[in-house]
Amino acid sequence: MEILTASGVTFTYPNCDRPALSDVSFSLEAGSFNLLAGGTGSGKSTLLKLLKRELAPMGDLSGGMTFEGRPQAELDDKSAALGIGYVMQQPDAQIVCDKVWAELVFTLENAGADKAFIAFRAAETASYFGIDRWYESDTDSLSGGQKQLLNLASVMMGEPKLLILDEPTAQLDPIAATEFIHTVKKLCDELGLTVLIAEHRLDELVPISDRLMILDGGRLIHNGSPREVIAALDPKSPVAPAMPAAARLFKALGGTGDCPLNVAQGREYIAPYKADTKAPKRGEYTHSADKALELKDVYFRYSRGEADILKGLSLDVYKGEIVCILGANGSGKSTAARCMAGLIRPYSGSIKVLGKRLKDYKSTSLYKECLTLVPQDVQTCFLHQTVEQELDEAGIKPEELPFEIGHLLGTHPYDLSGGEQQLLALAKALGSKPQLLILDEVTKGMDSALKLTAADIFHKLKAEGVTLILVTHDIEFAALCADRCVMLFGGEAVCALPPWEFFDRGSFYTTSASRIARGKYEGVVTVDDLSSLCLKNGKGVSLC
Amino acid sequence: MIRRIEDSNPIVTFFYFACTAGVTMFVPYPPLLVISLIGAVMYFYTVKGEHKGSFTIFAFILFLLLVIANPLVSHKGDTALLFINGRPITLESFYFGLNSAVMIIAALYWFRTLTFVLTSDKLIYLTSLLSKNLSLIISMSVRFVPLFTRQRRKIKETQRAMGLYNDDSLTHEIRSNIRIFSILITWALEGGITTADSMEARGFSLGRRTCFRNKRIDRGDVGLLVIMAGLLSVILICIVSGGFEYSFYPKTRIVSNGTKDILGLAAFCGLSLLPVILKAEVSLKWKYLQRRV
Repeated sequence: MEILTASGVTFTYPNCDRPALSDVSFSLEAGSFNLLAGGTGSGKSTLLKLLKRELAPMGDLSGGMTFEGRPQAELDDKSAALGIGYVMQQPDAQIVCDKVWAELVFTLENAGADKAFIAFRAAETASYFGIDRWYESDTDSLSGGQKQLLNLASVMMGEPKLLILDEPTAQLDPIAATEFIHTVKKLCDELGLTVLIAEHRLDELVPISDRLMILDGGRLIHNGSPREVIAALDPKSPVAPAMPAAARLFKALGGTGDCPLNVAQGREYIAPYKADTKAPKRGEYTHSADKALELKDVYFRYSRGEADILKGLSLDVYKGEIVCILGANGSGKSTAARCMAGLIRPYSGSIKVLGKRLKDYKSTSLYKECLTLVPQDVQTCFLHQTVEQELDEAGIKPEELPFEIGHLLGTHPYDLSGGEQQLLALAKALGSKPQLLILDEVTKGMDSALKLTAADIFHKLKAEGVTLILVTHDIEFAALCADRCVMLFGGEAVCALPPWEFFDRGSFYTTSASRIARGKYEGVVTVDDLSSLCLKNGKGVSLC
Repeated sequence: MIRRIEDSNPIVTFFYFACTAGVTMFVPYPPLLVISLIGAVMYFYTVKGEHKGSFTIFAFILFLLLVIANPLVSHKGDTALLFINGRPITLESFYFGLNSAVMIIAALYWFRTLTFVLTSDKLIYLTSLLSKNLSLIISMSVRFVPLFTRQRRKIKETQRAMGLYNDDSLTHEIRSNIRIFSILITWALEGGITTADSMEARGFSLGRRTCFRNKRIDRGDVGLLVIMAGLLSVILICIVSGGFEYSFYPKTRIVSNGTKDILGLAAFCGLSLLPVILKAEVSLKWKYLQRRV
């Protein structure tokens, strides 16, 4: 049964000559899990907002939408507001109230339900989502993942039939993102809820989706089961690099037969290939002898009563390297970055930047042509009304940058997409001509196409002699651009190795391509490594 | 079961502070003020809160200033102690200053304790009794303040790390801070739009809202209210029937009208020490229960 249909939806924003959406038609089966993909500016958000009457933007709309068989305009207010749940990207700004329980009951308070019913619904919802442990807390004290879970639970209080999610995990770290996606999938499976989710991070969503829709320039270019869509997908499309590793491997190997979507299917898919050449050819990793940054037995804690965040962290970063610092939540990655940048002071140990101790840098001299940190919350970098003013302030011209930003000059920094904001922050950081650049979670909010651009930029910067330290959760990205990977655990650097050795060691903390190749090939980090190995070996029975 | 004042229904908590602080401010009868100050300080030190020591130091300095200030300004009264610039410093004026100082410090302690005890959610519950929308606005503001301060701190740190925050001189620092403040406003408005969308998406404009801020009033709360109302009425009767007589000028005189005043003072004593008594009672009960276990 169809729960929602859109037929010939065309939408143009006021004062725009080009429609944001043109002739979009689709229908959603009740109880299905639907994934909407597309590059930045493809019209995903516009489409999702149009489906939710309360959020529909102003503009010129033609075509029709129905919900549960009734045209959207004829729905009564209550079934339009509560029947379609909507979760947005920003975990913080969506929260209305000060206490978790108050936020949870907000939806039913609006509906005017009686108190006993609200109390019951709050109790069962809190238990189902595991919110009961922090039910009485301040919403402000929650982590990003918890906030997003609360937003979801609060929407679910209204018993929606259709749940629309607009990039709900863009601001979350990968572990919280995975948990969130699994919760949504569980709702779909256990309650028969229909889900429509738009995301950049597709590798986990594609295997669990019933339907994959791809928007490009406001047109729905693909609509079908994930296998069909991937088989038909143009490899140059901006969403192609976002597909699961197994699917990308399938495309790289020519794409015949059934498309594998997860690691297990991927392993099966490469089974017919021989394994005469076990590992890709790589030279020894060499680095320059000069140290750009030297940390020795650094200990840090935020206040006297608390536990140490950094416990004897020692790390050398050599000039001209790209070092990725990986680690789970709370392993002290961001704290380490702030210590390196001299923003917080360790109570023991020494930090040297370019051979000079941090203490010996007077006032702001450290941040002039020496070291720059771009923090996780990239919005805090911006102080002006337009991108152009931001660049002016940093004293940098758009054409000097190693990437293209000219088309965004007139835009307000807050109106950029998450990935574009990262690029602008990077541009500002380059204004102070740093020799050592520390970037905290640089891939947050970037789609896959932009991640490839970012990796290119970092390699260009490296060629110019800039040393880069990337603090990231994003294993695939680290595999793509790191010279060395460092794992932080319990406030210490556990190991520092080139990616092909680093990812070959671990079986949990590693890339999907490495997992697919496990036991068959060695030293595989990226899908490109694996596909070239497969092609080199060819199909057939191995001699040994 | 009777609980501590701060654990009872917010109505009880609020009523208690209204009684004690109200009587303290409207009945400047010296013995009563002394009792009030003792009660307030004892309660202040039994509740959880931060920076108690520095508040006490502040209160003590303020107390001294108030005591000194009055005799220097007011020269009424019969008993001259000494003359400064040909103007008398009188004993009565000193007494009056002392009395006002005790009153102000006692009231300060009551209010400071109130801010510890009446947490934001209790305050929101109390306002929800007046208006549903007012309580929602307060709830949103309470959430917004820490969000705003945190964002300010983060922006400042980022600008420093990017070499764009200049605090070489005072003018530079002020200029940097003004810029940060202006972007904070933009940030807040931007977030406000999302919040409004999120409220709208969850049916905020559907019509009549329920207010779920639900706190039961049980027998313990009623019991406490009755006790407090009883003590307050004794004090009020005492005031109305002409008790608590005093005057400072021309000569300081504190009249004791026998049983009536003693009853009134005893009632106020009970009221002021009620939290401490309840606390002792509750902890005794726990000890007793533990022994039985």
